[in-house]
Amino acid sequence: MVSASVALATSGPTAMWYLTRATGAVSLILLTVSVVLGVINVRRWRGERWPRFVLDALHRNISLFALVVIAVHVVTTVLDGFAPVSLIDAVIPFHSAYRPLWLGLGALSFDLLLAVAITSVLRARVGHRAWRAIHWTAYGSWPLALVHGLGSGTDAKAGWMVVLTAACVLAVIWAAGVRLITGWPEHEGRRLAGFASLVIGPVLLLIWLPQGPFGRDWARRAGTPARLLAFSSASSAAQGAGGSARSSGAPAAARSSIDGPFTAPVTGTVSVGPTTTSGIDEVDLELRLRGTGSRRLSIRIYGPASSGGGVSLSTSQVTLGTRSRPAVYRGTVVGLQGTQVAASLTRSDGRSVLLRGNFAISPGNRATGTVSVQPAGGPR
Amino acid sequence: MRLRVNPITCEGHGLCAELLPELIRLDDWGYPIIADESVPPHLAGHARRAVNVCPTLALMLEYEKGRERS
Amino acid sequence: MSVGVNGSLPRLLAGLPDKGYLSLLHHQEVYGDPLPRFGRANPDLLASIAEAGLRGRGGASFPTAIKLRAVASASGPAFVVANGAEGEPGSAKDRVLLEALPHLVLEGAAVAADVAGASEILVAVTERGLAVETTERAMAERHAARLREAPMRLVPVPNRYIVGEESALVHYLDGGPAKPRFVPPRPYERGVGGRPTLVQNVETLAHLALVARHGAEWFRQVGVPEDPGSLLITLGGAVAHPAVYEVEHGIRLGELLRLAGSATEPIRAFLIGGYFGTWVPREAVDTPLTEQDLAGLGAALGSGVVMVLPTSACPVAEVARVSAYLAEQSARQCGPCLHGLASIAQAVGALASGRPWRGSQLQLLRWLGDVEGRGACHHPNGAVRFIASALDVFPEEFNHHARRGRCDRCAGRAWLPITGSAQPV
Repeated sequence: MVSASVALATSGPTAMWYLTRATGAVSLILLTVSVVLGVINVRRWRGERWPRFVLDALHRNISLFALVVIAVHVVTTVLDGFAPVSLIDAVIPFHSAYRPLWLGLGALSFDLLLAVAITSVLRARVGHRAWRAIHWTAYGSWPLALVHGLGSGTDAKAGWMVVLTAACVLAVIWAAGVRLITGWPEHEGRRLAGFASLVIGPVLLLIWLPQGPFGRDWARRAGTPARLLAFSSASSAAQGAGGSARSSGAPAAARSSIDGPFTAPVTGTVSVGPTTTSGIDEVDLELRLRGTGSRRLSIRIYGPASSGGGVSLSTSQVTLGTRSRPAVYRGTVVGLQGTQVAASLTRSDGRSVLLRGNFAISPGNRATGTVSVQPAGGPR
Repeated sequence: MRLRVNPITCEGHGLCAELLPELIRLDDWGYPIIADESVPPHLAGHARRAVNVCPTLALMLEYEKGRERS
Repeated sequence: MSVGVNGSLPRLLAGLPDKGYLSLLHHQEVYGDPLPRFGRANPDLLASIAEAGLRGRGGASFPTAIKLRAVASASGPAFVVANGAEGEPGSAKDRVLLEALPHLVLEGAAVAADVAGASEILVAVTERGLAVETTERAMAERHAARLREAPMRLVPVPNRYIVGEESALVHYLDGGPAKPRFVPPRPYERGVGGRPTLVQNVETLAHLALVARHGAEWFRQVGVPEDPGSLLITLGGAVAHPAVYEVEHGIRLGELLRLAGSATEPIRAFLIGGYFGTWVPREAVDTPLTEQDLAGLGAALGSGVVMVLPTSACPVAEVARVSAYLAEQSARQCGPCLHGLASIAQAVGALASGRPWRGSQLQLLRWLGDVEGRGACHHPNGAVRFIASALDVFPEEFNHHARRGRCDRCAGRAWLPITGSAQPV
């Protein structure tokens, strides 16, 4: 008997998710280094052991490398499948179903970088003027990438990421500042505009961050699809309950057999695996409670696999009822630990119960266990 | 094979002089002075590299007929 | 009076009116009836021009027949540009021709357009004096007279030193800035609108009109065999009557001075060829004005500007002022010209005013050598020649300035004009 937690064997999606976050961070670093090198080059700096042609080659190669890392970043996001993003969303901005604005900024940034790369490779054909015009957009690509990371990145709030982001922002501000101060004497207007944006940009960032990615409920506000929300946070119950519709006019009378308190053994089936085209893992327990009445319990959990071999709860749907009316009580999982499940369920007239279950999986996708139901708020 | 620089496009970055010091030196303001326009065969590869590295495509290699750029 | 078959002088200036300009009617009285139309690459006319040995009078002295032939044999319709963009401050000959004798220029342009296969004639005129106005009126007269010439269009150009440079003028006519372009390709291959373009100085076109009428032999009746024909010289400086004079090649410098009423003061030196030219010491007064003889002095006639510098002037101050002007007039496209001329002008200026200057004359000479030939056009070359020859001809004055600063002649009047203030006719 495979007595495990509600286990999902795959490790692919997890690795992809980490890869996408890692490559995102790395590409920000590489892009920052590229901008700094570009400015150093244009300012004609050369060191004792760093001739100009070496710095020039470094800038070129690091930029190409950044492009490769970003490509990996895109591919791993698509492969991971947690966020519903397809390859086309990486080049067509604001097209994705997942956080369209913030992802779209990344796509825009990527588009500009591609344009720079292609014109650089074809520099002799394109001519210096056209090449230079496109190359200027690289200065726009960087902030787009930065805001993309802040708006759609998983780790935006994490301490190490904040430090990294701050370092990159400071580096680019320094580089752009040097460029503006020492160059371009003829274009007074553009220099002033440039300086202005160097000051206004970070200020806007500092204003936006607390209300934005660092604020509450950012995932939903940023455009994460509803079914992906409630990512193992304590507030998931409130969000889940809000998500499920309350039917009105349901019979006020409750069947005592499911109202609780009671404890009953359960048997049933478990099905596991990707049910959606984007490869979300789902665990579906369909159980019959032994005892009076043909009571039915259904527990559905969605989410990416967790590293320990279980599933990380990201959303769930639990119903408790009878064979004829299976969803008298509806709710979500509020706790998932190994083989133990806890759910909070509510009836249409507002009465809520707390369900606890303990399950085991046996070969042939059979599930057995015990559940106990208590009115919520009542004494244990 | 002859080296020529387009003085209008040239911005004096000086990478060419780093890669082909035998034929190119920089004046007091950072612009290339081509000592001898004709490139001896043993420097042909270096000359090509110098042409390719020019950020503004100002350095050119000319053959008997026509012109080659990076 | 009319231009005689025996070919004496004046030729171009034969019809020069006392004031105003020569109308079409009077022009034909003086110079002859309207010319017939020629076909493209007309071999007889081309041969005649080649035999005459006519060379460009814009400064480069390029054989006209070769240019004409090149444009005529190119495919597709061509342009003719009559270059009256006289940016050289000391030169007034183009202005005289356009203000007083525009029909001579336009007639020559029409002949050139016939032979070159041009569909249009562009007449570039500096916005200075009355030239734009008179040229316009002359064009209207010719149009009304239905001479079946190629259509003509007047294009006023700004008064900058470099506007007359061939590729800069073509660039401007193409709608761009008046800045030289990298050649090759030269305008006679790809010029205005990408089409083969014949760019000729207005004086050259005036001579062309007369050669078309009277032939090569007539043209060679004045001048010397290697340098045939007559030319216009703008004589300025310390002479009694600074003006534009028509002389024949081979005339001695001294004879030219006598035409102008001789020098008003003791002479220190001559400037031959304007600010693109060369200083020669006053001992050169016997030099015949031919290419060969002048080459012996390291000089060339260029656009025909000759200036006489008196002993009362300070050559260092004059050279410093003009150097600053030349540096400022750079098109600023090429590093060596932009930075080099600026550094050089600064050095000469420091020498002139007695300001401390950390460099040495050796460094100045090195800079002059570094800058030469490294621009897209010949502007830096001309400036280098002007300054280097000054160092050659005025070593005592320069040394004096280097050691002791300003001299007592520095505060005198300025003899060399800048910013387009040409000598009056």
